[in-house]
Amino acid sequence: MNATAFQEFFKIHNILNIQVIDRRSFFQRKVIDITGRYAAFRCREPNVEKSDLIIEIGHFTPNLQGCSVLDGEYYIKPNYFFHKEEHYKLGGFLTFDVEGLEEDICRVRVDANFTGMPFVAGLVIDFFIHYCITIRGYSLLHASGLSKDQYGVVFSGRGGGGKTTLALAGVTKGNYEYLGDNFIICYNGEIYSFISDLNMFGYNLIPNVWNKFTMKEKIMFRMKEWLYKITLSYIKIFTAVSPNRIFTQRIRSNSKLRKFFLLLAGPEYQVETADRREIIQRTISNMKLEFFNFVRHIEAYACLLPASTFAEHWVNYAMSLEKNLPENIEYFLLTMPLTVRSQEIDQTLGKAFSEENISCIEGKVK
Amino acid sequence: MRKISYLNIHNLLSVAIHHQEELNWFPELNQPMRFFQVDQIKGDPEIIMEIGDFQPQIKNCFIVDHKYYIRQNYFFCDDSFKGLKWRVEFHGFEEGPTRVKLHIQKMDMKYHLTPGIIYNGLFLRQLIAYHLIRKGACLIHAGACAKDGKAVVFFGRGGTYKTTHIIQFMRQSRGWNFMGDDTLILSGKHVLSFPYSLSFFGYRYANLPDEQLSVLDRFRIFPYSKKFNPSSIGVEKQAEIVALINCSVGVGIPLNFHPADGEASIRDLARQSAVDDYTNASIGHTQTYPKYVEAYSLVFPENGLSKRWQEVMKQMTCLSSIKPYHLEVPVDFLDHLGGLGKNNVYKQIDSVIKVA
Repeated sequence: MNATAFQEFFKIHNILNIQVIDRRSFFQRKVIDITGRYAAFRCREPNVEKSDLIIEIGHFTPNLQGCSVLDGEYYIKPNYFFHKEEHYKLGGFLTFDVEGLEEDICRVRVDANFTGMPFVAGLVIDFFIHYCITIRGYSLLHASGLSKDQYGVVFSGRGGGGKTTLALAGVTKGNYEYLGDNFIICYNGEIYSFISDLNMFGYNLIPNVWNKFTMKEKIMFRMKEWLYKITLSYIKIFTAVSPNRIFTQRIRSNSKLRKFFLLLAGPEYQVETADRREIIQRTISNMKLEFFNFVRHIEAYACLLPASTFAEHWVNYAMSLEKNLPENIEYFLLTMPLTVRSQEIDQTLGKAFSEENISCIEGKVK
Repeated sequence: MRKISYLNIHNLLSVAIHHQEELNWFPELNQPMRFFQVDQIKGDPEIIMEIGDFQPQIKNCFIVDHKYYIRQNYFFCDDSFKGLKWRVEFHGFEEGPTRVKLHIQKMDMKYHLTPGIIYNGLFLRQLIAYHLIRKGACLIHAGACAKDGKAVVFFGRGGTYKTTHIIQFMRQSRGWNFMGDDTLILSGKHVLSFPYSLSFFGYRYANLPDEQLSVLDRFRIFPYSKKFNPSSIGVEKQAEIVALINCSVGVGIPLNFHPADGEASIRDLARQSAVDDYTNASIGHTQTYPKYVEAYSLVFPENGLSKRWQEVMKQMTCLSSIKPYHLEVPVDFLDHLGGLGKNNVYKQIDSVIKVA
């Protein structure tokens, strides 16, 4: 291992230990910070022998001997996957390989050019966290979460559904505790926080966050909105805000799942109870849309090794949801318009934390 | 001026395309499905495609990811990919005849020469695939040649030299007709031809040792397509499958042709055809249509679209009596094409099929 490489260690609730080895230069690391969004999981004690997921950032040489080639861009052999390159906006590209897909320790190497680097965390690292969590029997939900004395509520949905809006309103106005804004981990009815930076853009900015901004950040924020407008919604840069800055004392690490809301942006405000099976199906669609590139990557691997863990990933994810989402809690389908009124938010939070429906659940348990 | 062109796909499906005059610059390149073009169709078309600007009807829609507008049997979005921007609206997204309105803005120069390939690659092919499944047939990602009503099917992912194998096989074993080098229609144990961009195949077959186009070839193909006569290549319309050949490419492996496991081959064929839905090589592997289907499934989990490939798996079970083979070639296979004479794999395929 290169002695000059910069190393960091992350620990997600005793579920997953991640080691990140960054081979980029000091300057590149400072300009594009990849691991910043996992800051809440950073640990000082290096735990080298027990890393479950190792991520190396920087130039690498793929191990192609004996690989089958698909579509001229996938190089695949048992336990090994290499994807040549993938292009993004502004000429950004990234390429990665994975070793140990079917084993306990997953080793991911990823390389990208300057404009491709900002996509590394969201498209590659997040997926492999999701993958490693799933093979350990846990489920990652694309959702935000709130809690009040071991009473946890999850709001799952796609962008524009209102995850962040509800979570921020719940913490700042409703005095609930915060579990996460983008991902939540679920295990046998227990939910664990996944604290990542809040992605702020014009539509979900609230005064509490705006007031915590320094003058420089306020100017940058307005500049990004302006850039979005003049490039005709081509370049959309979110402002990452650490939740620790906004509500330090209000973050919780785990809770018990009591209500599950699936959010959709629709024509009018509506809450209805939903069937658990249907919610699970929608949750899988939600995750596939979040990592849509991997839907295709997994299909490529499945062409050669159809019975392997990686090829069966979406089936495994469905099974983990089936196991981890309890049958005796309430599931709701919540439709909200894109421009939601604050009284509707209050109404939703009120319904989420009202105890009145809980009596019938306890009745069932008895 | 607006024109309507009709496609009749083996009397299974009919398509109407309303488009601008500009498509007639290089008709052979711009209408990859020209093989199916007819003057008139009987009855109403199952797919209607309107190319040009339009006003979407997005009232009372669910909105996913800020850009997909969805309601029952309806889909609209404003999307972009690599120098292309488009707005597309589907009426009858899931059921009934499908009406597609598509407005494409081409920011990249190269797309101006071949606008037809874009709408074919983005949506038309996927829609044809979906409508065929509802008629009990399906589109598979494979090529084939046929002789006396018997077909040899070469299947495999992109870049596995299916086209090269077909070109070489047709040249070296006499009497074989062409059926398609990328896509075929599977109906029971029969395949129906689906020659996609026939002039491209014609150019390769007449001039090149293999399928690789050089930069010069990319220019030459324009005048070639102008004077290309589709009847210069014999196309067989329908044939019964006698052999399924799974093509693959590997790093550091020898050339190898051997019998394969039947069940696994059929599963591979189904899986690879499903994947073809995800990718489109002509526009750099866009994943648009399957992503739209996934967004639609988020709003309406019970729909026919998301189950379409399970339907295909059922249809394919009748293929189990057909002999499967596996053809593996090394990555640098094209460099040694000239030296194939001694250990000629195509002669081997021909003799194996004769015995069968």
